[in-house]
Amino acid sequence: MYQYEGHISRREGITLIFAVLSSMLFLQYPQFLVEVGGPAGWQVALVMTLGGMATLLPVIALIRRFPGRGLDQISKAAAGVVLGPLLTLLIATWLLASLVLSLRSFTETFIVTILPDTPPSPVMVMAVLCALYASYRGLEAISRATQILLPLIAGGSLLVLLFSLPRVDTSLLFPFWGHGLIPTVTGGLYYASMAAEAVVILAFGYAFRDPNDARSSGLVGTLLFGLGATAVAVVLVGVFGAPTASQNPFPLFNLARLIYLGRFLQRMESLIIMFWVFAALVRLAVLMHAATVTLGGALGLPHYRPLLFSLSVMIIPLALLPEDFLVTLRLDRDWLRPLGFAVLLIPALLWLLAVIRRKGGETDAA
Amino acid sequence: MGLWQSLKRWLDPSSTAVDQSFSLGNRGEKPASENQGTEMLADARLRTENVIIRIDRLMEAAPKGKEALEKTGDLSDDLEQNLKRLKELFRLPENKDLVIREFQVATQPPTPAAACFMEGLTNTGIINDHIMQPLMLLSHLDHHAGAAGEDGPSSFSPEMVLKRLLPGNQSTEKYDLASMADALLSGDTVLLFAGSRVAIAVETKSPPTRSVGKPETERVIWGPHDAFTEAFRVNVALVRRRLKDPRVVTEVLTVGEISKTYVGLMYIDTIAHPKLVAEVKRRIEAIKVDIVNSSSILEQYIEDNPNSLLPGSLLTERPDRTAAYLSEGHVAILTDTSPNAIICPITFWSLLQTSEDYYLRYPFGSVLRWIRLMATLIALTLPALYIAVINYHQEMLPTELMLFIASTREQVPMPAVAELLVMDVVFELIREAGTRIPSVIGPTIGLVASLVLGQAAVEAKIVSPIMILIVAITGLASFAIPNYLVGFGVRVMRFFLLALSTVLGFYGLAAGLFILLIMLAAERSFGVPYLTPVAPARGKVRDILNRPPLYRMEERPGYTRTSNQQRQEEIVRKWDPMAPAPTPDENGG
Repeated sequence: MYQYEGHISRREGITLIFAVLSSMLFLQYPQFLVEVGGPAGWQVALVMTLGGMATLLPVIALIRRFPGRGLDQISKAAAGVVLGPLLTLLIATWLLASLVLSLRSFTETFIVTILPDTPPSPVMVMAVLCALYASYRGLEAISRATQILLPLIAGGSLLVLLFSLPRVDTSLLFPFWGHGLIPTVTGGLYYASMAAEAVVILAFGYAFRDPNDARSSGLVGTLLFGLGATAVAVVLVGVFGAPTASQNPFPLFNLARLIYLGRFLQRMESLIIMFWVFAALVRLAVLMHAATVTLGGALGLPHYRPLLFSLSVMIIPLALLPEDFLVTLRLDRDWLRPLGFAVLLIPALLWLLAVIRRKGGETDAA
Repeated sequence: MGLWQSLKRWLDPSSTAVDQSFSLGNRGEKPASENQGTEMLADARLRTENVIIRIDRLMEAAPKGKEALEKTGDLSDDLEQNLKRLKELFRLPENKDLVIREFQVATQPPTPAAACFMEGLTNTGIINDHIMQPLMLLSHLDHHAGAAGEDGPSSFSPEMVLKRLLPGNQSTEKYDLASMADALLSGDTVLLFAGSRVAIAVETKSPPTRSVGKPETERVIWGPHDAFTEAFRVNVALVRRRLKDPRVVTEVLTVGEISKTYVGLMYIDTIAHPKLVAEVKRRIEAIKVDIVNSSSILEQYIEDNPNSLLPGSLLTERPDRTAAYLSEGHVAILTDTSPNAIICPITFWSLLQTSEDYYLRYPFGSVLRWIRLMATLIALTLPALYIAVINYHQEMLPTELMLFIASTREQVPMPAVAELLVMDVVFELIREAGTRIPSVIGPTIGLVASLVLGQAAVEAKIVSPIMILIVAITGLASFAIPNYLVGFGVRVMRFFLLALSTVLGFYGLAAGLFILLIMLAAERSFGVPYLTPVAPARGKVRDILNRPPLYRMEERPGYTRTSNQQRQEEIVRKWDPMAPAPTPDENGG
């Protein structure tokens, strides 16, 4: 068993999942939504939310069946000592890939937006150091820090959306069905895998005192993220129009650039980006912690911390591997997201195995 | 000494010989001289003797029962023998602090006795009037009336002295040399009698103390103006005066092998969590060091994370604040010789509060707290923000302001960050000098130094005027932080953030803040998360930055997990027509 990492409450769980998912809105994901749905990008976001929540149901069922246990313990119990660690390893690898691509995406975003003369490596090293320290201090510290930071992150983003409202042209939101209902629904379901990161609640299953807290964390966190994504898509299309918004890799940043509150308060995007840095660091910290804990569990290590340092060293060169930002975007959209479905299938498989093998829940207790 | 003599001194080959000046010895030499070795052996022999005597007596007393065992010590029937051992223990005759006054108790026949006390720690008036006088002059009255006189010398006993001759309010029997020494060192007078294996310690403590003064670092405009002193008992009394409840407990522990400092653990039974009291006691009892002579030293031994930049407990010099914390279920630790109480557990938010917040009407209390939070943020981030803006994010400033800053900086030879560091170091110098200079001229010197130095630095074009402004605002903000130790922590964190924003602008600043936040979020104070009740949220988040009206503060803070959460009735202002009607349960209906 890993060292005591404390517990997280329902509120902390919701904050954590919401922060991890919503940080994606500062990247290129709103662009993807508009690309798929056109003026109906917000409908894609809604479908994505519902789809994401639905794909989380097996995860929740699994946590409820094995309360107080982490992914590695659950998979061992449900799928046995051979297949279990292998399945855990697959999820850990996907989390690691998500971490690496997130690191590269955020680095590119910050370089393009606020640090144009800075090479990527110092930005990456700083981000990894932050994530390393956060993960080293444990899940409790991450979730508490997120609770403090989330109002700043959400407030900063909300202000951007609010101050952009005067520029919104509602006619740009039409035609109402965008490119049509079928592309909207299929696109929305495709991007439902954006919620795959919520699988971290399975990795942190041991930290929830009550399995119902894990359920609320996953579902409410994803729902809030979906509402946020919908709002961003509406404002984005309303301000830029679907064709421009679908080609804009930093949509929220570009919205922030348009804000003009007076002569003295101009070009506030750099300040607002500070809050987005917080969002990025929270995401990286959570993903790193989840990946390390899961990987450590799969490898049967008694403690996650030694693995943390070697993973941190490994992540930076991996993040530098994609040739440029475009390759990173493509890897994310064409590989990471589809594989997210596979990741979400694993908990379903584990749940099925647990039911068939009568593991966990009341059967175990008996 | 003439010129030739001086030259001769330098030319003399013997001047290169081994220096004969005083030294405590070189590396590898035994630390103790032969004499010291003998002394150490003598000390060990004395202690061993005492132990052996005690073991023998315990073996004798064992069959007689528990009471006999408790009264077994290492004292001898022979007064001379006891005094000899006491003198050896206290290194007499070199040590002049221990006074031994030999006399005869006026019994029939007279009983040889000795009064021993430490000079300076005792009240000689009490010794003369309440010990010597009854024993030497009044004890003869006893043999005219009562069985004691009829039986003659055999009637003398320490019990008789204790019950009939000593009017002191606190007198106890001592059976061994070690407890006798402890009593002497705490200021008691110890009486030894011929033919008795029991000594009597009489309370005559009167250590030098100052009177109750005003707080130095926690001054208020409204509210009490008394502060703790170095006298442990006075401090306890100052708190007890405010909490007239028999449930208030003061447990006294002794810390320090040499200092044997009294440490008082104050809490309110039935309100403070028993696990908290036990944990504080466990940590204090675990300290095995030579000396603990201040609350701030004790705090470093017992806090959760000694490496943290912020304090893990609250040091206060205010008895009213201590009493308020006790009533909320905290534990207060009072250390003898220290004018501060340690409050534990605490949260980060309580370090930004003052007792005045509660003495003012609630809107003003809240405003003050917000101002302090703002001051903390300014003290922490302003220099880093400035460096980030002028080095990386110039677009944020209006063009005219940016041009003005650029023009003022044009003639300054140093980069902005070096300029800032120099000014910060100068500011810290002024602050430190202001603390060490006598208090009458301290503020004046500080003011003059900052004005003159600032003006001169700008005129010499070493720094830009805007930099003076940044450093001054930062300094002012750091003075508004109510807790001295938090101020120190913020200063260190400021340099950390400055370094990061110099390298990576706002990105570095945000990363630094993230690291600091994680650090705070991981902290605990006696098991309580440092950022609670905000993160993790514990119950209603009240009395953090907003000071609610007193009549709405019905509950004690959730994080202390007191067994009795309610501190006042739900409706306090019952007379107020605007107050909500009490619930039927409250009326018993």
